[in-house]
Amino acid sequence: MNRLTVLVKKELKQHYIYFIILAGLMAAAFGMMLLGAMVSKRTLSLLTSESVFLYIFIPLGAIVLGNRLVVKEYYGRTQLFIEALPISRIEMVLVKYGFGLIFLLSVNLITLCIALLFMVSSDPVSIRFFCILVLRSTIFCYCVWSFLFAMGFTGKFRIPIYIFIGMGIVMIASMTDFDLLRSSPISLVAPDDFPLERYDFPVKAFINTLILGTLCLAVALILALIHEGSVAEILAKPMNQREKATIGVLVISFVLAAALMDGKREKKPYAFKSKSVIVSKSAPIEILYIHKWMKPNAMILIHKMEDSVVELTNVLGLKKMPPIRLAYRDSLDTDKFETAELERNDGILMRANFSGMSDWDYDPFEAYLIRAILDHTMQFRSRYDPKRWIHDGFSCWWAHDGFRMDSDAHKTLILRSMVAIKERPLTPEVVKNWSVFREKCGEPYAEAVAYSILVFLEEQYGREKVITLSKSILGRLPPMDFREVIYESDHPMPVIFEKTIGVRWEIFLSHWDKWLREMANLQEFSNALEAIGEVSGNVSIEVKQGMVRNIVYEFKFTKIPDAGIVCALLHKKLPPFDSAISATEVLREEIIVKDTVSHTQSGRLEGRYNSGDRVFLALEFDSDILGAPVRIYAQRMNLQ
Amino acid sequence: MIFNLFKKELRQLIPLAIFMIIITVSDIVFRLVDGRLDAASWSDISGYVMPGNDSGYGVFYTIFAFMFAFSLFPREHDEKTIDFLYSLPIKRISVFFAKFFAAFIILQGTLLLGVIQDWILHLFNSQHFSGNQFDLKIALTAWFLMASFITIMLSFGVFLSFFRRFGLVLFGVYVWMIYSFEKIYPSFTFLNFINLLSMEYSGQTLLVPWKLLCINLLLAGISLVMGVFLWITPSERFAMWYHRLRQKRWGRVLSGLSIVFVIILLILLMDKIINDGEYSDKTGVSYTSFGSSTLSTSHYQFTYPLNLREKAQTIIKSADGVYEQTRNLMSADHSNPIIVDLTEKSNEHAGIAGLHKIRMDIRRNMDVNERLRILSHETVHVLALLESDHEISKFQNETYFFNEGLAEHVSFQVFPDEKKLFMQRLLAAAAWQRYNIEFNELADSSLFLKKYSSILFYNLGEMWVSAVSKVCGNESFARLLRTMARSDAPSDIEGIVFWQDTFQAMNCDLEGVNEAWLKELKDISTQFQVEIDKLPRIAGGVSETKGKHVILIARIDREVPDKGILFYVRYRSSWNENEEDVGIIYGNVLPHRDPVEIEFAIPLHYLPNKKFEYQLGYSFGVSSLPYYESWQSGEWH
Repeated sequence: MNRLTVLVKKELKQHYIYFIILAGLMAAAFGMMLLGAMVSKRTLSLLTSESVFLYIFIPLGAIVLGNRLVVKEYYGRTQLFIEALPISRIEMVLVKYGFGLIFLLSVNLITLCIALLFMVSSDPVSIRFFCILVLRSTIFCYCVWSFLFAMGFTGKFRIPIYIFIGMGIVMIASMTDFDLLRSSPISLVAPDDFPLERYDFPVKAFINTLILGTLCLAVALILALIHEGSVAEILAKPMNQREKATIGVLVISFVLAAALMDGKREKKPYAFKSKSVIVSKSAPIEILYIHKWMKPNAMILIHKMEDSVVELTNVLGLKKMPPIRLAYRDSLDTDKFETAELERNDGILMRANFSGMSDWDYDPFEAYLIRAILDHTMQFRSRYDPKRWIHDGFSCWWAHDGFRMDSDAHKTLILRSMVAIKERPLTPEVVKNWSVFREKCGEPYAEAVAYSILVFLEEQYGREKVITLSKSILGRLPPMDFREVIYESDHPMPVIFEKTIGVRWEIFLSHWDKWLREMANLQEFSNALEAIGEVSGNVSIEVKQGMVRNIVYEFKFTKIPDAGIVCALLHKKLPPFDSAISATEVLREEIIVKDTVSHTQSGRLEGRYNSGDRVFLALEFDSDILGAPVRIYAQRMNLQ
Repeated sequence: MIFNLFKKELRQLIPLAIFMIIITVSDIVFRLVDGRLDAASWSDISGYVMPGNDSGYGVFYTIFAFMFAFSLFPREHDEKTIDFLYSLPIKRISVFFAKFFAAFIILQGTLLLGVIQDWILHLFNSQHFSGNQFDLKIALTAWFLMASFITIMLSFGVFLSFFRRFGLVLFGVYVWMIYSFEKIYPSFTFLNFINLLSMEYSGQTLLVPWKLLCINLLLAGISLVMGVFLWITPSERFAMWYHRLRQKRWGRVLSGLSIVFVIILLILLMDKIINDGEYSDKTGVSYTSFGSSTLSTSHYQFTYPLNLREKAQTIIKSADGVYEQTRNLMSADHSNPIIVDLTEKSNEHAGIAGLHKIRMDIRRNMDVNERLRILSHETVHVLALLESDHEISKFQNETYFFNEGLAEHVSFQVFPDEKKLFMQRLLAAAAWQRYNIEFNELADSSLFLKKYSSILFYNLGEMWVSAVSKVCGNESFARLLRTMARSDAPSDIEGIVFWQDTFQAMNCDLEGVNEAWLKELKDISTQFQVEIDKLPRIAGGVSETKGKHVILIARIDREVPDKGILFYVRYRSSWNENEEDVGIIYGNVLPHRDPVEIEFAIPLHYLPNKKFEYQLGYSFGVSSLPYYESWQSGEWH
């Protein structure tokens, strides 16, 4: 006993100043944690401070203690002096262990009691709750200290071991379902559980943590005592270059091996679970019709979709068709469709309102469906700007069954393309920047222009050429790496076009332009164009007091517009870096023409944007003839 | 001679430099094998230019700066090789700066290499929008900010390396203190060097936070001076001085007193902060006293302030009934008694709940049923947490709206208030109609809160939960919660996919639920379009900076009742601020203005950055949920 007292005195004398500093720092840290918990607006229990303190500062304190009590001693080889005394080695080790444990437990108990004192007036603390808290924190401290004490004996390898353990935990957590916060020993002091669980003793976590702590202590004792302590002594020496290199190789190998590991529970493939589902036998299509009365419509629709999908697969030579699911959505307009977010392997989930099947126009839906399928099979390479026009054009061309001059849908699309290129001639450069063109004239008009290009191609060179061109671009499965970049540089649009059609791209485009403008002179189209009239739009920024900026917009009609026409300002705040804008992200402010006297309609968007904002602004008016809003202005601007 | 010394230091740092360069250029390999470079934008490649506080880069740069800083002096001193350098005919300060600048040059050079590499990588993309993002001014400004950050970290590192690994602990404490103080006093943000990398933009101009930069450079300069003192004063002299100090009794007393002094200082500081916090909270109707009492019922254990005994009693006597009704409606299992702390003082919320615990503020005058409804609402949260085995909390980003919606739905069934429920649903329909809110936004609360108010989680969530019960049948809430807790549930799914998977596992279709939810929203907005049209739009912006306040002027676009309408502005320093740190200010209607104008005065010390975000809103009375427009960005000068 006397020997132990001497040892304790020696440790105290050697380390008291560090212990005082450490205790002071830990007290300050705890004070700050407590303060944070007090002033936080959403603190449920002040014990949250103790929880955070336990899992951050107790390990930090234990590292410092381990460093002082073990690492310094063995690194400086001063343990040899103690070993020379008539004291057994195990006594020396146990005194150091006990010293650190008592220090950490004392800090833990003091901070716990302080937190409880602060909270007791608002939160009753039963004996059971107190016992749970004391056991949780004590067992946690025991485990943490045992582990870090053992690490102290690993000497030069302790930092690599920390790195391996840290990396291992991070990797296991990110690649498997391992949840650190719910695993022992961290689960004992987890902030959402430790301050609030007042009824159940986490027995399993206690046992696991005690076993873990005891194993660590055993490792510490083995390292300290084996071969009369020579292992610990050898480990305490600095690493040589060979060891450093080995550690480096091991770390890299570990990272590579971990990268190949994927042990997460897999999500089950997406499936409709309702009984209101029709499944196709000939194609991977399912329709969720939701309401019983929608079943007949769903039956008709699935047959149409089957035909479209089977034929598309054959024509484009698609190797594998993704599962296609369609859900009924009553809140959508019948000409609006949505694609829902799904995991990539789950296929495509679309939504549409097919309630009025008898007069429902299937073609726009089919065009949308084809675009969604191609997006999926090409992993969105279909939207690559220089070739995106064919994604837009082919879907419409396919849906509208190619070149049929007599159909109304065809005429409307041709008319839209005439309107779209009236002010903006379509050069190869414009086609290359297809997203800009889509933004300037609106998606329905860009699709119509692309459609008309393919219609002209069919008229001039036949249907097969359209399919050959489309297949060469849309029938591929583009890789998701640099190979696709190389392929693209070898196969730009003009090269592919000339190779498949035998005509130069720019010459073809100029012929198409001429064809379309000549067609615009035909009586039928010129009358329609005249009926639409000339409309121009203007947007100006009104500087108000301070930073406020109002957006003033104006529509000028050459002909007095009919009552009921909707004119709209489209607007969206933009981030500093440009990207294509999706139609669903844009907000609309509408003006409905009431008086039929004025040639101008104007509106003002007040106070929505400030100086320093970057915004997208566009003006559109509805046109019955064209069947889609006509965009007359589109601009991205920085508000000054 | 100095140049030779500098070259020697550079040579010494070559292994580290190679390591850093390999890490930097490894991005090229990653970009080549994972993704199509011709579709990658400059902002994708150079993530550091993206707006918002990305502490990931901060951690990365700090590690590198510290690796260099810690390799400059400690080893030379430990192995005594520094003596050879000091034996050269060069001043010690020159040795110090030769080392410092060697590390500085390598760090800045590698950083620049990274910026140039990103510029080269972006050249593969020729698309108009994503391919034309590069802006030299932004690139240079970003590099300047990152370079400043690394310089600051290097200076800190040189100082901290004197304490060897203990220096890392000191640094950790320093960072943690900055974050803690910043939370309490937002204006402390100027100390947070990580904010240098937050990349704030005005339009397409990257702003330089000069105040933040100058203060941190100053601190870095002080660190460097301290580093000079610690490293080039012969360390033995310093160590011996300290050793001699400790040998003397008065030295030990002095050391002890210093520590005690620091602790007392911290406690005093803590006391001041708490008092300040209480002062700012003195806006309620009545105050809780120091005395409190506890009372247990079958299902609850209440603690209440003695001076609010009567209010507490009205809750307590009906509490068990509330519990039973709430539990039955949820089809939940019995729980252990719930601790209810009625001593809560909050101007921000009426109640909060967690595992087995509820905190409620009962100071305000309120209808008893409304108070009991709040108790029911919070009880739902406790039961939901237990039924889902904590999964509802783990997937909080996905389930926030559901948790609040469920609590609203059940509590309105326990205490029906048709008028209030109708108003809530009307506000939900108005917001849905005006902002095209979609389910996938609701299912990702961080994305949702970037644009909208969390209030919408309550009313849109309530309608969604109502749709769940219609479509998925009896006991659907409990089934849904228990399904979340199933043992084979995947852990890495997010957003709408989480909900698709959960509904699939409980044999119901999310599509069906959303269809019912949207139909209800559409029906309300069609049926009550006139009422929705009466709800004014409110918009405005920063008008001026007056004294210590930023003045916002807002206008409403249609007539509103003269009395009973309250106007609010919520504000935050950036979109990624926690919901609990969002401030709120009431507005004053300015007299004789047509259209009606409302003035809001936000104290400047709550807006540490010139750029901030605000959200305008109003409510028809204190107890009704407010309507908020979407977040807007503002700037003060």
